[in-house]
Amino acid sequence: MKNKYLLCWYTILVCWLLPWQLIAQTASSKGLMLSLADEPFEILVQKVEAQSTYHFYYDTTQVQGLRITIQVVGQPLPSVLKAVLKDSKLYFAIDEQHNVFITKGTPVYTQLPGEQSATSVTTHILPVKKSERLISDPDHFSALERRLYEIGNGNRQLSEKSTISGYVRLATSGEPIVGAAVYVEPSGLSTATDAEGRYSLTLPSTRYELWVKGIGLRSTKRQILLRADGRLDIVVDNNNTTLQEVIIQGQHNKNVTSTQMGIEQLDIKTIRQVPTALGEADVLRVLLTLPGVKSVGEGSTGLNVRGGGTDQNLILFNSATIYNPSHLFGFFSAFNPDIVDKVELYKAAIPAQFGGRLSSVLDITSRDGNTEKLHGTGGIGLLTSRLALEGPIVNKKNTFLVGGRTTYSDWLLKQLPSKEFNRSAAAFYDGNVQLKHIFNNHNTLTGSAYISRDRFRLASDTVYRYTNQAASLKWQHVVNERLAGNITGTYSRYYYDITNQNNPAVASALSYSLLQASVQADASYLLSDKHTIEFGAGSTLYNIEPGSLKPLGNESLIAGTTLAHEKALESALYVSDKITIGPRLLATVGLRYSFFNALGPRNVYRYLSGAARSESTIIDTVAYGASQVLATYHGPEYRVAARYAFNDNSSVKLSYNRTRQYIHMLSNTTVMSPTDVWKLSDANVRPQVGDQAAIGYYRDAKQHTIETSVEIYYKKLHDVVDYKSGALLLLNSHIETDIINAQGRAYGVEFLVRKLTGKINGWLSYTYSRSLIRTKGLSSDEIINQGKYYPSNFDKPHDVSLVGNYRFNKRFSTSLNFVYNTGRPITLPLAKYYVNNTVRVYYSERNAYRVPDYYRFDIALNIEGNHKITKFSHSSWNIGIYNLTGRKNPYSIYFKSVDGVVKGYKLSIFGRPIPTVTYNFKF
Amino acid sequence: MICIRLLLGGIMLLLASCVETFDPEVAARQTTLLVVDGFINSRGVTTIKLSRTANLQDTATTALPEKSATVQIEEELGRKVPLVETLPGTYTSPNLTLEIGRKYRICLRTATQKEYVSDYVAAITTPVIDHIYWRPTRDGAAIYVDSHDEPTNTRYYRWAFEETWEFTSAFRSLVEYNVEADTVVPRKDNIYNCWASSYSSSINLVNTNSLVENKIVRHTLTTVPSNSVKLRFKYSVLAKQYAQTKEEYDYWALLKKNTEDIGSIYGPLPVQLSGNVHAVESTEEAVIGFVGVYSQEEKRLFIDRSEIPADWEPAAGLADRCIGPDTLLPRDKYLFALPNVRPIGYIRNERNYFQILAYTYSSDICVDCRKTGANVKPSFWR
Repeated sequence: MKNKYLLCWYTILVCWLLPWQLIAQTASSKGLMLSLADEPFEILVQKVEAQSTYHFYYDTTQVQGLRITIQVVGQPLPSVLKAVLKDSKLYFAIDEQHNVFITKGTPVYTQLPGEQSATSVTTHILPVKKSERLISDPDHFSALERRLYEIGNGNRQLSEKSTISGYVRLATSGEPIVGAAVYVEPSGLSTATDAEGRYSLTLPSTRYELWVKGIGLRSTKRQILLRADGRLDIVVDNNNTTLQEVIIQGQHNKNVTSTQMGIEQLDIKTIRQVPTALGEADVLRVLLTLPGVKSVGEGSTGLNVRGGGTDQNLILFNSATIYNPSHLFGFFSAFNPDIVDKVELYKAAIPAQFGGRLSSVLDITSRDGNTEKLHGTGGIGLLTSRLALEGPIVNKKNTFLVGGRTTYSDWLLKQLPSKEFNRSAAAFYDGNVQLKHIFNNHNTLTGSAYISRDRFRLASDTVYRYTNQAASLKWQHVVNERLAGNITGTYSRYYYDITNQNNPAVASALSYSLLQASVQADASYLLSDKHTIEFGAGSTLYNIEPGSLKPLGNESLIAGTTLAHEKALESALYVSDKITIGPRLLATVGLRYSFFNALGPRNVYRYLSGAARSESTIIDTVAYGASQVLATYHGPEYRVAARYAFNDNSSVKLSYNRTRQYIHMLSNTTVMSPTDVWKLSDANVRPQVGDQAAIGYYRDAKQHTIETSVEIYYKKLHDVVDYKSGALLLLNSHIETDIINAQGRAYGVEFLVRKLTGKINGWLSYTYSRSLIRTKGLSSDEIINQGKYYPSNFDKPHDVSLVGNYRFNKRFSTSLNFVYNTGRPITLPLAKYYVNNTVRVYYSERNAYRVPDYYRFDIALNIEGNHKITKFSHSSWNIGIYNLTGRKNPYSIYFKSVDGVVKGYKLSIFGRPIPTVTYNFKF
Repeated sequence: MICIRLLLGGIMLLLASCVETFDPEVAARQTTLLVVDGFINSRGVTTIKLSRTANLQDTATTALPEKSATVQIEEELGRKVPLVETLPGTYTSPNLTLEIGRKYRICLRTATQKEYVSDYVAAITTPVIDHIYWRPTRDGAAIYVDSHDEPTNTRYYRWAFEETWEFTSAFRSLVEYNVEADTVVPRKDNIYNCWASSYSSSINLVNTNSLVENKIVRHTLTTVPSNSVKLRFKYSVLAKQYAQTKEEYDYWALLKKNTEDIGSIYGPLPVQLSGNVHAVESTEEAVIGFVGVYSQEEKRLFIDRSEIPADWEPAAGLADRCIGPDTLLPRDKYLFALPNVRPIGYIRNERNYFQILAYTYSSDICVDCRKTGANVKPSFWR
């Protein structure tokens, strides 16, 4: 027995917090047999030390007057001490060597902050503290994790349920964390934070450990004692920039637990690691490495998701639709990586909230500005430079984020010696502004604006320009612990013009413009712990100027033509319920009902029924006045998903969804091009309808650090838009005569293994999929390949992608990319013949052949600057080589008659290794 | 394998894109398709060429003619005019003047007794070419045509052209070899100055639908590069203008897309093309060709070397490509009997003029301009 101890030995370990009562437990203690009746504390100590290996350290003066009465058989020491010290002002702590410290007024920590050990976990009991300070300090975090938070003012019984809700935010910037898993032990009930970082759980009123986990986050937990409905805001820390080693302890994971399937989530940190051709982190390029996402070739950012067309993806940037997500012939995506926060792609089980496109929803959100101080990030690359600034305005309640990006390719072209390059030009820029104001805990207003603009001239006098504009305003409102919602207004515009001034007699400007304005209200209501209802409604007004041709200059003979505007109103209502049927079975049942009204003023052609549409089968022209409805379409869209968990590590999920699309992209080039025309459904063009059923098996290994999944899908697409051979898509007032309705069919199986943490991380995916189309027309020029199913342009059955990162240390990491896929289908000539003294070729059936298989290796090295905290700016270098092996992957193979001779050519976009260097900085 | 950096917005240089020749494996076809090439001339001689498609791998550079067919022009509910096979696979009509607005078609029966017809098409008249002229541009001599027609007439136009230029062989041959006598004698004919000609190989189309007037202004027929051998002495081009129906215009536009415009990143997709000629018995059998009914308008332009800008440097053609003549001893002159060895002149002994030390000679193509052209001045040349 020692009644003296060194005060300084523990004061350095002492908590800095207020003297709340502390109880410590040891998990490995043996059971004690004690029988004391009004004995002094010293007797207890003697008995315990006699029965066990424990050694007590205490000050006798502090235990004077403490009398103990206790009867225990086989109980561990902590519970004994807990009982005997309950009403005293004494604390105890037990370390791994079984030393027991008794203190008065100040608790003792037996471990260093940040350590986590199974044998010794200390707990504070604290009064409820509503929200946590935004401090990124590991000591602070471990303290937060050991406190006990009492939630709610009340004392409900276990049988009664209470709701805990709040926001999960990033410690360093105060940004909300979206999609983090929040769950409680031991019940296992889980949820995920929503777009505003909000979570909510309804549980029996008792004690829990509440865990928060997410990609790129340090997992954290809170001890809670649920007494009644209440709120707990949680701050979490990044796990990438801290110098402390991070241990992720996974227990539950979204891969297995959520009902959501066919979803791909990427955060910007993951996106940045993947090497790209031009050295710039590219949202859309990285998506292409995921299973089920393909593109026609390297020169296009158009995505083909599970056999769908490039127009079948709803691309949202801060809730506003983006129509052309690419710059510079598709070599850059139009999203500045410095302002992007995260990217979600729904390939199946599309939530009822989203609609309007058949195949997928790509939801890109920008970051919130930093609430603490002014920060900047930027980069300088070989072709582009970018800069973003963010920070609070006046106080923490207002934040801003401004970003911009531009290229100097125009300047570079001028430096090149070739005459043809000198006469070409290509330039683009994009800019973003995001402002956020937090009125209070219940009301937040976010405004976002976006612009991207491209201009290019291809060694000629024809200048192409296109612009995307988008703006959104979102009001988030929390009504109470169970009901929260938001109202969003968005505006999007896409327009382009082509000016040609080569011959003054035909100098002209062709322009196209699409404008959409939408309002949407979404709400989520926690009906009970078994039901979470999400519902909402939205409406979109479209106004398209499908084309106008204007003469340029006095000499021009061009007659001005302007096609009639297309107007329409698309509206939808939805409701979905997330039902917990049992601890293992979870289902989301949703219904979206969409309405579409094509509006006047317009003249609509009526065609002879039963005959192929052409100018000669027009039987009538019907004039509709302003805002008169000229066609109406509506229909239900089913959204059903279910999950059955076999255990913590594996589950099976099912989903079925129907989608409807009322706006169609008309393009007769293989890839998405800037001059594609978007056309609304009308009296002659029916909406596209898609059905998809999918089933998947999910399994996590190694404590959820490795996620694996297999998904199988089958998809049917109705009334997909295809065109007659030689269709005229621009300035065509009766475009329906050139359109054919096609049926699509797609199926596939996707395998994915993903490891997101650790020194080695990345993913490997393999997809086998087919995508087929069939046209059934009335006349011979409407029937392609005799009306049989034929492979679509992006039908690439085998697809393997590997994205791997290896972190040598805090400053050096490397990335490796490997991509393999089957060559895309092409139409090849079968025979040659002579007409007009020139040789010409006769083609095979559409897409009867394939280009050779595609494969590519890329590597990149990321070098971080040192992490001295006092530096003004932190910088990093990104050095990479795209297409390391220099393989000339064929983009297309074509035959051309040049000087009267037919020659076969192979076009490769990146025919040699492309080195890139980018300098990034942050201040 | 030559890797050409494809120009696509110049930026592609930085991206190292490249185009190289490539021969995919396409199964050879057993059956060949009938190709009908030509139009019914509403004012003049109609020439229809019948041929067969060939496999891509075939090395022949001319069409496989469809011989001994019976071909005639048929007026809807009217007369029939037979065509005569003047060359293998080439069928020619007498000089005809068809009634504008009435419908005509081609009707043919092959030697294997298979019948084919084209769709009836109304005869139209092509407006005259108002002007043909040229202007120097940064690419070379751009040749333009102007034309106009009534606003109610067809607004679709197509052009073809035939160009002719004067050129020389690399070496002027003063002598020729007489095989019978085994002697080298002075040459009488001129095989140094020749004229070469070629046909347009690309499809040239335009419509005036978007214009306030049915008027063709400054439409580019072709551009002769400033460094082309065609401009070395004198160049001439004969423009041929055709008025087209919308259907025929669409056919040519698609054929152009299929075979000339494809390959770039935003290039169109090739399609299986059908014309207006069909087999009578089978709807399955594909036939290639579009037979329209219209007249042909022509106009000729000359460009003389003296007219071109002084800083243009037309290539010398053969003179650039042939290396200097070699010599042959007189006793070996029998070698001049070989087809590819042509004498050019003598090397005489400076002290004894009559002693021939050697003959100079070069290859056929470098000496005889008739190998790449004709040494008869064309009748239209001035």
